[in-house]
Amino acid sequence: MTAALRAFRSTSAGPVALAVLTLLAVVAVVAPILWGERATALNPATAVLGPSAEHWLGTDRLGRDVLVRTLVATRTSLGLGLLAAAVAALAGLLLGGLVAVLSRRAREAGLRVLDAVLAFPAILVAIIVTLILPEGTASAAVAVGVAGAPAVARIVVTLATAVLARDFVAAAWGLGVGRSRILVRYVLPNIADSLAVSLSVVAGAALVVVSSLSFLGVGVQPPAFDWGGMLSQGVMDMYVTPLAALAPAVMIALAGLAFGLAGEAMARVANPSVWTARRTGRHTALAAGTGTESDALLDVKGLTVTAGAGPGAPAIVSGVDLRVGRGEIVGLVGESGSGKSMTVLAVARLLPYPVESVADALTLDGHDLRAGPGERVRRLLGTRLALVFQNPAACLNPALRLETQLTEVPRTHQGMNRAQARELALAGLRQVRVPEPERRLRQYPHELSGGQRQRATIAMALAGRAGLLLADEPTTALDNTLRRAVLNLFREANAASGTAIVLVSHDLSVVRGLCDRVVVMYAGRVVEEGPTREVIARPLHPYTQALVGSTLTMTTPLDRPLPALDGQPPRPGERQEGCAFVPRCARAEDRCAKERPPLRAYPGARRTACWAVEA
Amino acid sequence: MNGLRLRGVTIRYGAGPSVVSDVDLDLPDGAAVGVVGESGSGKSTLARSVVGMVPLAAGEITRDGRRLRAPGLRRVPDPGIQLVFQDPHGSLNPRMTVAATLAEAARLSGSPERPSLERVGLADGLLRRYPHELSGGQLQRVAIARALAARPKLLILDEVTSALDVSVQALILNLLRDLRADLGIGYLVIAHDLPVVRYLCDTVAVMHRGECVEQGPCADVLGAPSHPHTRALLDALNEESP
Amino acid sequence: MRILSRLGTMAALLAALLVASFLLLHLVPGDPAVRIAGLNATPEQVAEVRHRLGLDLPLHRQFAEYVMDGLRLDFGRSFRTGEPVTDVIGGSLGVTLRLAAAGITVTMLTGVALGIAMAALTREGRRPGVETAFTTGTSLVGAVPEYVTGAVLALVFAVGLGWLPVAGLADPAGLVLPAVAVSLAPVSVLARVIRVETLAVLAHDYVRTARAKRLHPVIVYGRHVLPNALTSALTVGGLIFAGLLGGAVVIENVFALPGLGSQLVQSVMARDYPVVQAVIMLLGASIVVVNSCVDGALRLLDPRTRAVSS
Repeated sequence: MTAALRAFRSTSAGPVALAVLTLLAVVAVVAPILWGERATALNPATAVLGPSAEHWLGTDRLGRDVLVRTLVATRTSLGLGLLAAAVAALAGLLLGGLVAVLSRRAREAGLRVLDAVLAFPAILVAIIVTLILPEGTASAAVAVGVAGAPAVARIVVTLATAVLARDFVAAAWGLGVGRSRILVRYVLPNIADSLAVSLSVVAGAALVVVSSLSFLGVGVQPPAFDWGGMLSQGVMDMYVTPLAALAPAVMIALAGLAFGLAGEAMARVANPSVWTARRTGRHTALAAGTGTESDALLDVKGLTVTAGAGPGAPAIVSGVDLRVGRGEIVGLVGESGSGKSMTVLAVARLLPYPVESVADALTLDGHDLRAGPGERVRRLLGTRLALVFQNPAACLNPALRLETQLTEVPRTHQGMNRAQARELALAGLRQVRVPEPERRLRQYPHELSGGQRQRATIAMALAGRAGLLLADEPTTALDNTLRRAVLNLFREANAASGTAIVLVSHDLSVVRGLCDRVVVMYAGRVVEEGPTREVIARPLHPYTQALVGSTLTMTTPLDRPLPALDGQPPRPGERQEGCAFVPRCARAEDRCAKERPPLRAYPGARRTACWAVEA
Repeated sequence: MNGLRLRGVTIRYGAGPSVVSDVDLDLPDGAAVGVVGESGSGKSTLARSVVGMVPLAAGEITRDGRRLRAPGLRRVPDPGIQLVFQDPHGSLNPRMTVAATLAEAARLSGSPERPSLERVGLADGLLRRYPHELSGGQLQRVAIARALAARPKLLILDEVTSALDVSVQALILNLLRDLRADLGIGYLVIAHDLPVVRYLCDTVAVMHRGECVEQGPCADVLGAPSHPHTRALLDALNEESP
Repeated sequence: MRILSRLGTMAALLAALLVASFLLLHLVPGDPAVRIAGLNATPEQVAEVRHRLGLDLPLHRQFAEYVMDGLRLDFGRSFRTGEPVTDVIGGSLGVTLRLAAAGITVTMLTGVALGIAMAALTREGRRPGVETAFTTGTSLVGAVPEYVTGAVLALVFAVGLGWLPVAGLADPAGLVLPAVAVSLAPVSVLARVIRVETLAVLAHDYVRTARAKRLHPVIVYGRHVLPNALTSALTVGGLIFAGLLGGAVVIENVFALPGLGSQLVQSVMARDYPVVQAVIMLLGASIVVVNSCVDGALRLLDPRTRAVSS
């Protein structure tokens, strides 16, 4: 509960909204008792006056004090607004709940009816409903509530349908959890936050609509008065005493805003996973250190990636060196959270927001990438470097023809005209063996088969004659057959154009078939690197050994348990002095916990960072 | 026969073509059967139909001779069959603590046991946590613990390791082998990863475009495949690890 | 298939409206004939009115006539003025259409641009200050009733600065202030929707890919992001337009524009049922038309549905 309270306070709007609502509530209770008579006392002698010491906000046509009337009207206005919101919420929840639990076909029909009803402006529906209801002050509020109910119902259905489709509901149903309990325990808590926002927005809107009805003359009828009615009268004298209209207007806006902000604050409280939302920092580009020219295609030295700015920011990647030769295929392996993806994104200079990086050296083709976002670096990154993300087919924009997507790099960065770029794209598609390349260029991604999309993506990545392809878990989302096809394409591109590749994966079996060299990362540092074949056949570092041992193959012995690695890697910010692998390491000694082992060279072009490995 | 029996199971969405056509499968009590195939081969849909998440268009599924699923048959949950999902983050109610999730499953099965994570190799200190405070591997173990709380005779494992890191995957596979040895429950393992099926199962069925093209003991089917598609699946694997 | 079911829904909606607007007359408290004839009318006069309006017929006969008249676009005569309802409404429809068209243009252009710009500024949690300002600002605009914004705009630009007319449509410039006033709240709604939608699009791999190509940000947003965010813009825009057709009642009132909304309010207050019924049917029909147009536009815009229909 204290965490929830803290969450509420942490939202800047929460306390403000709460304070305003409390104040309004107090005024609503107290004002009619204190000034009820003054608010209705007529005094033609003081009609339509400006502000004075006696009447701070002036008087209206009938000589009544505007400030007093505005305050006294709080009770009626808020009360009607809340009544309307309550009617809307109750009717909407019932209606929406009913539609949500219907069978699929009935639900879709119900939704379409709701959508159609929603197309009618709520204020009109409210006006028409007032016709049917008996005349009276509460009628306007009930009418507004009835008019608002379909909107609430629509929100309830949308939210509930999404939750009902999730696995945990299916799991609960499979255990025999009853329908009503699923609604109460599984659906409601998971839509509560969004619903709270919607309902408070509805409350704010209801307040405004009720006052609009009064403004139009179909709501609260004189001698009763609310802000809307006051405004309606005040507007007539707008040009003489604007305060008579502005005072109730400000109150309406204030109350409406307070409801809206309170809803957003409540939403945060209702969702425990945002209590732990991470802090945000400032974004800066790569900086610091002196670079050295090198003949490697990619040369990274001392790369450190931190979650946020400043010296206290936890390090995700610490002091990583990565060298990729021309035409070389390097595998970057590690568990989730080992920093392998962040390393690649840092190289591509595409780190997500609060994450930042510094490096002692970062060169591509001998050019320093740490220089500011100038045109030269942009062109270099746009042409010489290409990225492929988790599911290659998802890298194509569904709204654009292939031609647009495959030609934009050469046209933007290499100054080609349309025809030249098109020729290049055709050649690229032919290279990855996409049938009928001319026709494909005119098509949209959805018109291609899944396999063709993957090929097209790789053709696109290579379209600018990329020297280096960074592939971030490109096969993780794919089954074995598609995985093989993608890896084959990489292999062909490498053989045909000498494209160097950095393949990021948590799966050694993917790396094994493709990469010349493998780099193993653990907790943000490189723990082992060397030729793939040797590293997998004879891993040096205990972590690599565990990784290799726990990888299932078709020859894994079935009569004994798999060598597994229990526990969790340390999170960024929780990493200690010595070797990060100590808590999970069977060979850890006293020294390991105190002193971090450096990456040392071993025969056969291998390197590893472990005290236990003899030279 | 005691156990689960699928006969002529056919599934289609709306008026579209069938996603699963005419599949026969036998799962005697305590047996571990694998279903392999590419994505889109219908293996997950088949699994979901067993627990009633997807209706059958034709055929029937019986357990211990009693009709469990058939076209037009009211879909009721069978606590004796529990499904463990691929995505551990989506399979637990984010608004319930681990303890509440397990307690609910235990209560429904009429078990007096207090919720515990010992059986799945986790510390009971995690009981008070919410799902978003656990790692993927931990969540998957909690999901298994929840399924076990219903005291099922059959666990359906739908790609339970494919969203996890290799090292965590090994932990879950070991756990699943131990559980089967200790509890004698049966498994229906849905996976695209052949080594996983080989490691967990006695028999395997190969699916391709909604049809079951080959089935038999793992050693036979994976050692000497008779259907070209099974061979293609095995080849895809071998090429990666020359 | 989808079009047919859509059309079916729309036809069902119109039928439901027909029934609802017919029943309206019978649901309202009191005897309409008494109201029309006046409280001082003799029973004979009331009976005469009742007969003239067909209120003495059995309900199903009345409904049948109501439907037939409706199909002939004959909604009877206004209780207030005695003019044919079609004449009463005809003029209002033109005013409303002009205001709604101006309003939706302002809304779409401003809302989409603002939403995308805000998404670009606050993506991945950047600039939390800007996000707070945007959320608060749009909440505030949404919370200020239209008549307040309308009145303030009139006070400043028409009365104070004298740049634009205060009221009426004698001058085309008279449409500017009402259009702006009527768009403010929809713009804040649309901008919020577009921001959220754009943030979702920005998280897709194809946008990351476009960034990796180092395209100019204008190209990334204009070519890669905008078309994917436009679907929701059109959907919300359709709702807003439908809302403007009838919901501009308050602004019509402030700027003395004799639109459909004002007509409805006056008729409701005067219990002029034939006009109320006709306005309801007219708005219903407009909403059907707007929905169908949005649907068609969406299908044209999305290459997936476009390919299926061609």
